[in-house]
Amino acid sequence: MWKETLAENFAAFLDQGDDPRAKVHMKINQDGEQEEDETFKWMAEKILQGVQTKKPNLELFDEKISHLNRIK
Amino acid sequence: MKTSIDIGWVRVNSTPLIRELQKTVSEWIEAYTSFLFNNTVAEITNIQKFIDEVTGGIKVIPEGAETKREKEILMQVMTHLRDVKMIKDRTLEEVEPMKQTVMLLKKHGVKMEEDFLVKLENCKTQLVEVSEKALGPVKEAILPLQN
Repeated sequence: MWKETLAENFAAFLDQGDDPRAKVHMKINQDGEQEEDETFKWMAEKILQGVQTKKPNLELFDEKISHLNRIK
Repeated sequence: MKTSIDIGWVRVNSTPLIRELQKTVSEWIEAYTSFLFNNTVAEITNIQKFIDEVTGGIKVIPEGAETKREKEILMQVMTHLRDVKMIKDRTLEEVEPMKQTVMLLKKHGVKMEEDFLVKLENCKTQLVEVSEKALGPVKEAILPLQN
């Protein structure tokens, strides 16, 4: 039963995090106005190919893995 | 810890249960650590691929922009320069969180065949070097050809 729920639980864990790909990144231009900063999209297209970006922060991973190691 | 206990005429041995639980917990740990590991390796591979592409792409600079071939090469070089300009800083920002991830994996005893901290530092240096070359002397060299 645990084996069946591992994938579901892990997916729910990842779902807690924000996805920077889904966010509109903003910057202040030379005229002092806010505009979309497209550099993240450009970088993501080349550097984040095959990388899962929707995930919680590293502290949550640390907590989870530490907790599991304690149980073990 | 006592793993065997007699309750009346029944002897209960918890060793197989403990073993199974440990196996299951290990699988869970593996799910979390391998996710972080695979994500980091994929990202390092992409950075290295990008560095190699740019390094190769700015090696040849056309002497003129008259022939079709020269124009094609010039376009390719300009594309690499644009890519470097657009993504260099964002990519460098990715390095520190990746180092933190590698350190977390080490902390939890994940065995890695390579020293990814060294690899990340090398990627950072190479990216800075190739960017400086691309946006410095290479950009300068192609400037007269763009008119």
